[in-house]
Amino acid sequence: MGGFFRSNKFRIILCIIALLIGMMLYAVTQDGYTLPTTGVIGKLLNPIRSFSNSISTKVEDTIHIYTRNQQYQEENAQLRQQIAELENDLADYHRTQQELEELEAFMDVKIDHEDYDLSDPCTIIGYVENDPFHSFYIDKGSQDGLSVYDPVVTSQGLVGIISEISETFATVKTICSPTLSVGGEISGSSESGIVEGDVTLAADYQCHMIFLDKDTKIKNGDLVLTSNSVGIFPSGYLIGTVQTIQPMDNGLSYCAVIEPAVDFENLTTVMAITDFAGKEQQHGEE
Amino acid sequence: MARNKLLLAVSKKPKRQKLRSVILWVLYSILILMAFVLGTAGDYVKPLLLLPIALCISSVCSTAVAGGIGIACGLLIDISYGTLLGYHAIPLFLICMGVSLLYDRLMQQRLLNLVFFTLVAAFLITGSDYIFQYAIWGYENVSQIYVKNSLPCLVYTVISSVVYYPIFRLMHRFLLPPRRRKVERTVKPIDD
Repeated sequence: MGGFFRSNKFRIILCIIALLIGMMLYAVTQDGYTLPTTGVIGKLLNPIRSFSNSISTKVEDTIHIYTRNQQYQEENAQLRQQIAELENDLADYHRTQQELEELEAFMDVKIDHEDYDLSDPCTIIGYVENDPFHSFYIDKGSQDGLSVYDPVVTSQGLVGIISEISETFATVKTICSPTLSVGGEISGSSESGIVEGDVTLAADYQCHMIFLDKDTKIKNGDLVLTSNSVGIFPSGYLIGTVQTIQPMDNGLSYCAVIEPAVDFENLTTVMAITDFAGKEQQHGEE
Repeated sequence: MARNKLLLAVSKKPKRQKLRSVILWVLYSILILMAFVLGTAGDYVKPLLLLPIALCISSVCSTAVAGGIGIACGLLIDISYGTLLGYHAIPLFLICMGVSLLYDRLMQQRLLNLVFFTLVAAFLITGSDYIFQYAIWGYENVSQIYVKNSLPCLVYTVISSVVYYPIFRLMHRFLLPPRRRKVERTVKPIDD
């Protein structure tokens, strides 16, 4: 044992320890900066360190897959539930946003036509089965203040009329139906005619304006408004735009094909005009 | 002891039959309700789903019950078509009673028979709809309604009867009273 303390090995070990202590002391005085040697070593070893770390992480993950299987499954189920809840919230948000936009549009109608008494927004609950003229049912009836022959509108334009009513629901006949005739006039002109549905045009959700004069000046894109000639519809409400003009079969007058302002294919909510200026008076005259 | 067992067996039998009958009518009601709801869903040409259902039920029940089913399904069609109550119910009442009588005395439970009856009934109903709802009013190009609405509706209805037949066949196999099933098994066509 005494021989070891006197040997060169012991002296070398002491020297190394002394060197290391010296390095430590020097490092302490560097205020956090690494020693140049440490930096060089680190630089050399960094790729290896990173490689070994990645292997270690992968091994750890692989082990976790087996050891924490149950935990992951629970976590997965929890996250799926969270996603489902968030998706439901998102759907609710979109629905609410759509309803809000529709209500805002209906508010505009009310602001533009102060004389209108508008019903609450009515939701379309179904369509009359196999009706070629797209009649539909709404979820409001006589107990909500609606009555037969009330005009049905959206913020875009005229939809039709209530043709049948019960306490809780009503049937709406659209302007695509040939049984519904609406007095129409061209915006910014004195020309007028009768807007009604047609069997051929109804398939494309269109209608036509008949009994136009032979020397009509109507052109494509002209706006067609209600004229209140029969007292059922308020005047000046948009029906649609003129698409084409053609002579009628009798050759005495012209008719214009009208593209309704309302998008019938995507219609979800409508409103009924329960009263408007001139309605009662003109009904009384009838 | 033996007498008690016999009594138990006798008392159990009608109870089981009753339960089967209740299940059968609950299933009928569900199918009728689904057909009615589908009828008013969406703005496109659809088959008259209630028609083959009414005929399928009529083919296995008494004339009076068939008449009742005809009226019920007819009234539902009236509601979904927005027509006067009874407009479809009266013809369907007569059709269902006729079908029940024919199945009772003459016809076998065969797919072709049901398809034939559905075709005839659908032709009568779509035809009368076309005449009294549209043609009578003299609209221009009114024949297009028959070509684009009535005819597709007729074809879809006949196709739907092919779908309904196995469903009702399966229901009847398991849920009809045994006596009725025995009669059906016994009365086989000659080519069988």
